[in-house]
Amino acid sequence: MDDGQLLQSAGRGDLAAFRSLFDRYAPAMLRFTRRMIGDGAEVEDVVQEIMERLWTRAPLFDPARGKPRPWIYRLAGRVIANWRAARAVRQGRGQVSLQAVGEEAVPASGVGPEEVALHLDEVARVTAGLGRLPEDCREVLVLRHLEGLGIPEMAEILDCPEGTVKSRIFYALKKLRDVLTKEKVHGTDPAM
Amino acid sequence: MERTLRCDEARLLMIDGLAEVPPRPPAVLAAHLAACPDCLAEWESLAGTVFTLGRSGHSAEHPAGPATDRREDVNLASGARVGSSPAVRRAGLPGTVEKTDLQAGPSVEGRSRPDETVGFRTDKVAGFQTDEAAGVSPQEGGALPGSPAASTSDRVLLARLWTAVERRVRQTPQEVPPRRASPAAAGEPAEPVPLSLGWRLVNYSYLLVLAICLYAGLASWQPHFLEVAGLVGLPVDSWLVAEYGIFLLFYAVGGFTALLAAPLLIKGKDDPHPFVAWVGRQFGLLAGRMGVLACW
Repeated sequence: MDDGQLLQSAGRGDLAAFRSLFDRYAPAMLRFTRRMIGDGAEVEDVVQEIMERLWTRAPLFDPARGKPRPWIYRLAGRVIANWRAARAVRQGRGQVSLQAVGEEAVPASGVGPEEVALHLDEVARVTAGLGRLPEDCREVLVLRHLEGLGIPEMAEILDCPEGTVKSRIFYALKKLRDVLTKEKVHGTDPAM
Repeated sequence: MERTLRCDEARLLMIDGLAEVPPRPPAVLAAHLAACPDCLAEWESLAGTVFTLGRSGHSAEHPAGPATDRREDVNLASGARVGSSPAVRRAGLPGTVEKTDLQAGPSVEGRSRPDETVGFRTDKVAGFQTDEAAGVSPQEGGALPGSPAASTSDRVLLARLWTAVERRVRQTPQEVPPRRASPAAAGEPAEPVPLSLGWRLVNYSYLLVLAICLYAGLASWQPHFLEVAGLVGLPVDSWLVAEYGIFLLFYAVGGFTALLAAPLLIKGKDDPHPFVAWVGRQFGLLAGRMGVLACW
């Protein structure tokens, strides 16, 4: 069954279909959540919230109005935005530390330790730079270049025209480039 | 003379090119990049940022990245330099860039592959595995069921997540989609289907012809009307009656019919008996037509 059929079955209360959906999307939701809010104990809570919301709102999915994948990502984005707003109220912290995200990026075996260290160093630098970006910039970069979503899917998730999505990607990349360049020039190591 | 791109136009085209996977400048932009070093530097910088961003997405449990991400494609487009260190490039890790014809100078690794527009090695060389190599369809979902690299810790995490999610969903009711009340369900008659353009044309043509015939007929009957009006005692001296008397009579009859039809129309709308509604509709049509024709 494809995602749309699984979602519709789950919407009719089919737990087995929902389990299949979970198997397909939970890893991606974990990854997406980590990249949006950083790594921590909250990630599991947020992903649980996302999957629960997916279950409760599955009956509302209409295949005639869009594809399942952007629908699920949009739902996840809303849960993350709500969580972030609640956290901002609790802690007043605006910057997300994505430092731990880079640590998971380990190449497969067969690569020497020096290369691994260099790779991790660069990954940490980029992910820290991502954490310094505004939320909307980080979101488009994560969706596009890390989650691999297409422009039409992103337009559906973000509820804006495709041209706007492309513009956001462009300016988000520019911002990330500026952040990375500044860190390089000033010699600051975001990994520290 | 062929118009060349301006730099601001080129930057707009870069948006399209960077959004491609892999980032690839459109043909018209490539020509501009070859001629404008500033724009070329901008493109290289942004495409390099795309590249480093893509490399940061590699993970132990999903070495090929998301299932729908053609990870080997999220690398540098033609001609862009990588922001990675020379050691990384020498080691041949993903992202090693080989310059193409777009750029002057030697390639990073001392090799050139002019036949390729994307000058870099795939992840397979550096030990990463792409979705295609793992036999995974990149189209559905976000998981990599065929990926051999799902670590034990991830499986444990996902199992724990499922246990928690299952407990929550068993206690959480699903939302009910709003039902649209159909007119049939409410016992109301279905909405009338609007006439097509052709039928509307026929309808109005018929009315026009009828109006012309009626005008000619009424005009020819006007003298006879005056005789009858004089016998009945109507003021035939008035120029209005003398010229348009029969038309006024027609209009008055139409109005009188509308007076009769109105209560029938109102009652017919609510009355479940179809005959009453039909009679009301006929009266209404008659009154309406007579009114229109009289005005004409």
